[in-house]
Amino acid sequence: MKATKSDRLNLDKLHERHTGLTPSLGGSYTEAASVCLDRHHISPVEFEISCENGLRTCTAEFSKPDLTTLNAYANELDTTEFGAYGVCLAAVELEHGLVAVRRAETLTGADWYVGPSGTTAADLETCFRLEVSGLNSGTQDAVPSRLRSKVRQAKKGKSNLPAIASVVGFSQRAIAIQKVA
Amino acid sequence: MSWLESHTNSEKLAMDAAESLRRGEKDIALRLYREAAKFEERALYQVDASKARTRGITAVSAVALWFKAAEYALAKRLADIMLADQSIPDFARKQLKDLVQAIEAKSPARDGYEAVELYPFKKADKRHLAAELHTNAAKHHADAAYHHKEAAKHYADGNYEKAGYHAHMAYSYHLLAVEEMEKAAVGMVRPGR
Repeated sequence: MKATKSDRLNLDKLHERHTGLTPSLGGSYTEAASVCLDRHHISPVEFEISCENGLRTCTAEFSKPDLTTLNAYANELDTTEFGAYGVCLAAVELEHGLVAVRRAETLTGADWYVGPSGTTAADLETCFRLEVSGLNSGTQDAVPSRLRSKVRQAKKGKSNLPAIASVVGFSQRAIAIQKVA
Repeated sequence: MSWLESHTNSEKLAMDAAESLRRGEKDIALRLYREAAKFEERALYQVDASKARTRGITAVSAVALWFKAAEYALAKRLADIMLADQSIPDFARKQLKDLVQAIEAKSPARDGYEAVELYPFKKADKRHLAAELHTNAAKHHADAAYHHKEAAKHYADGNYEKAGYHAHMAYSYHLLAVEEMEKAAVGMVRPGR
C-alpha cells in the first residue's frame, strides 16, 4: 500500500504538537531517531504499524546525521531509547491522535503520559501511560515478542492505570502498539 | 508560583539531573534532583483535589524525586502522608509502597550506628565528617526557619494552601537536620574516638 499524505510518520518538530516536550528534548528524540534509522536505512523509510485497528504502512523522512550528531549519540543503548521515544510518540499520534502531555518520575526512571491534543499536564484523568521500547536490530518476530513483554510489564507494574505499550524495531521497520486496560 | 510553573521547573530539573547522571556527575545530579523534588512537591499541593489520578501520579513523582536526591527522610515523610490519604488511587498506592521499600533499603539504620561505626575512619577524617554533618544540620535549620516564617506569614494572611506547603517543608527540614545531628552526636563520628 502506498502511503498517502496522512500516512506520514512525522518525526519533525515534535514539540510543536506534543505539548509536554520541550524543543530541546523533542529535538533530541528526533536526532536520536535519525541516528537509529541511519544505521540501517536511507530516507525516506517505510514503516509498518500494527495495532488494534490492523496494519498500516507509513513513511518517515529523516535527515542524515552528520559526524557531530553521530558522535553525540555514540551510546547505542541511550540513543535507541531516545530514538524509540521519538518514533513511538509520532506513531501514537498518527494512530490514536494522542500527544505527549507530561513526564513523571518513577522509582526506576520516568513515565510519559499521552492524551488528546489540548490536554494539559494538570489533568491526567483521561491520559494513558506510554510504555516504550526500541530494538536496534533483530528478527521480525522480535518486535511482537517485545510488545508482549511490555504489555505484561504494564499490567503488572501499575495495575489499574491505563497504558499504551509501543515497540519500534529500527532495522525491521516495524512499530507495534497495544492499549493495556 | 502557579502549578504549571512548579511542575515545569521540576520536569526540567529532573531531566537535567538524569543527563548529569549519564555524564557521571553524581553530586550535580543529586542537587538537581533535590531542587526538582521541591518543585514537584509544591505542584502536588496545588493539584485539584478532584483529580485523583493526576494527584496520584504527581505524588509518586515527588516521592521518587526525593528518593533520587538521596533525601530518604523527606521521601519517606511524603510517602507516608500520601499513603494515609484515602483518595490516592490504587496504582499510586502500589508505587508508593514500592518506593517506601526502596527507601527503607537505602536509609541508614536509625537505631544503631554499628554499621557505620565499622568504617575505618581516621581521627582527622572523623573530625572532617563531624564538621560537615554539623554544617549540613545548620543549613537545614536555616531552611526550616525560613519555611516557618513563610508558613506564619501565610497563615496570618489566610492563604492556607501556601501556609500548609511551607509548614510541610519546615517539618521536612527539621527531620533532615535531626538526622544529621544524630549521625554527628551519637558517636559514630565523634572526634577523638
